[in-house]
Amino acid sequence: MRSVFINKEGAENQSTIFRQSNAHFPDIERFQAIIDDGNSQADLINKGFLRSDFSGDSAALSQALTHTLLWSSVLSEQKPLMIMEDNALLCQNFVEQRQKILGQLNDDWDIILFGYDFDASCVINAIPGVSPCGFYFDFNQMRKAAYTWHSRSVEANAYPLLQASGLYCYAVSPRGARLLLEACIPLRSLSNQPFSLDKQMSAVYPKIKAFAAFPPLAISGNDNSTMSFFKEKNNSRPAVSI
Amino acid sequence: MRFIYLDCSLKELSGHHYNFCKRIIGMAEEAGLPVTVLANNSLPADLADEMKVNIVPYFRFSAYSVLRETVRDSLRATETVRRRMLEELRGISGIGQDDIVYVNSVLPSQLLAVTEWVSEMGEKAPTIVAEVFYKTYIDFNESTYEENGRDFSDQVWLYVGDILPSPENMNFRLISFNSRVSNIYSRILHQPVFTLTDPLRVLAAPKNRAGKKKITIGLGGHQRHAKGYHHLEGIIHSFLRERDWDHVCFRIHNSRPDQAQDIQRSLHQLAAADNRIEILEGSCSGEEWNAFIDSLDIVLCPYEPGAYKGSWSGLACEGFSSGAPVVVPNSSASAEFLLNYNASFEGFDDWTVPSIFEALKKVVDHYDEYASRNYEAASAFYENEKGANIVKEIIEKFK
Repeated sequence: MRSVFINKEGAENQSTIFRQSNAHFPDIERFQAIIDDGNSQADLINKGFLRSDFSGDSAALSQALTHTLLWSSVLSEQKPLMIMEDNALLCQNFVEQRQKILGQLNDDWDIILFGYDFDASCVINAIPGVSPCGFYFDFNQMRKAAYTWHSRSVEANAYPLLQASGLYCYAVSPRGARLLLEACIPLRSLSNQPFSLDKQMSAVYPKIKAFAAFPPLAISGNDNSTMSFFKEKNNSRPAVSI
Repeated sequence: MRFIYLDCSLKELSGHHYNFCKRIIGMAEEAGLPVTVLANNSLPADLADEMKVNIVPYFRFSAYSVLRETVRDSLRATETVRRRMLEELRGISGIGQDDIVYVNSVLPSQLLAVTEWVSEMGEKAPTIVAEVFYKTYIDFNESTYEENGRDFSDQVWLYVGDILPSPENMNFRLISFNSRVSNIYSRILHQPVFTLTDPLRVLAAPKNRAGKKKITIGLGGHQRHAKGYHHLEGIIHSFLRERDWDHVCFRIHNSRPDQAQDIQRSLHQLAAADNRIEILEGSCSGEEWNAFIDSLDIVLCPYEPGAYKGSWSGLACEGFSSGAPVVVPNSSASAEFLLNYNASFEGFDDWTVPSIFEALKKVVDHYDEYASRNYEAASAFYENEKGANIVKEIIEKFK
């Protein structure tokens, strides 16, 4: 399966961290992140890509534009794709475990999350027909140990996914790409919440063949370069005139 | 592209600062890069003459200037040295974006100063690589996830981890030469710490020492408490009590005998009474050091297990690569390294004379077996690593 990581133009530092932290998983292509300049929303509404009541910031829109473009390429090429953001950190035996999970699912899957956000809940259908199972992780503890993750081995299995946040490491199949594009475009905010693509996708997971690896095979060490760019841009420095 | 080597602790012709400098600048020259070294301002002129590269005595404080007895003293010293080093770094002109700056063996003050310096340079910064170094006693409780430091230097490291900028804003790379050390510092600093090949790993092809009629046990370098130097007298007393050990002798080197005068005195008395014990003192040149390592058939590292669980030992590595079986603490980064390379070594659990001597005795009593197995492992290691060049590695990974 082809693998790409999303990296903002000029963010060579994050690209180096990504490549060296995941040196045990070579052959990952760089895909340049699309950055919303803040002036494109009206045009995107006219084209039907955003709903007219869309309410989201440039960081979230940039992320959505990049991921949905990659889904479109999956649909046109009719080949599955593994998509990572440049803050993804893969466990030592990632390649072997990913292969095991793909084998278990026998090509009958739409999306597989190999990692998900630790600061939001994740719900899997652990015992189908009996009970779902929700779990939380400790985000702060994870971040402290994130850069030792490459030396950890993890034994994971795939479970049907009902809810999750995070887009930093997943695989999408051509059928999954079509279903996600149909469900998510036009991009829109849900229940008066600020827009985020992962929330919109999460609402779709119970309706498609979505799976999550548990425990996760990937974690995130820091902000990805797109988020980090907008955070820095919006970070107003203290100033006073007296 | 130039290779600029910074080491504020490079001030004498011995120890790991000297050995690293010599080895790494050799690798830079092999990679075809012109080299400039900025060292401590007390560096003797003969080092510059010996190395035949442009060496500028420059930095005012060595990294070890901050090691103190109280938290308050440690923090004050750390801040003073950080501020002075930042002044010194800001005073370096002429570095181009295409250059590689290698900062050897940083402690908290140096790391904070370099971070600030890099941040000030912004996009104009060259490729900067800093090696994190020094012993740490920090333990990670995997259940509560608490970090427990034992001394003030541990507390300062943890504090630095709390205040360092997040990695996407740290436009330079942290490295170590041992994967376990990298993992420990990654956890302390919450940053990626990458592992490069130890420049001192391979000095020459190993020798098969099996069948030797006389076995020389030795240790060398800058002797300190954490290196178990105070245990040596007890170890030698145990040795003298052994029967049938006429074929065994000791070579003990201390580059700084002035810092362990009582121990030196006791060892000299023992050496005066038994000619199987030889004491060597003071700095030695690179060639003398290589000859010393080559003369050892067993390398003894009676190090404190706690201190060396997150700190590598150049001596253990050099001993192994020369073909000599090594005695190290079981839980140390060196033991893990030796296991990874199938070395034949012996470990000890307790930092006591009986425990260390028992491990040493096993090696002496079955010397040929240890030496043969170690020779095989060291030969494979040599074949694999003889072309290693960390300067080329830096260019490949970080440029």
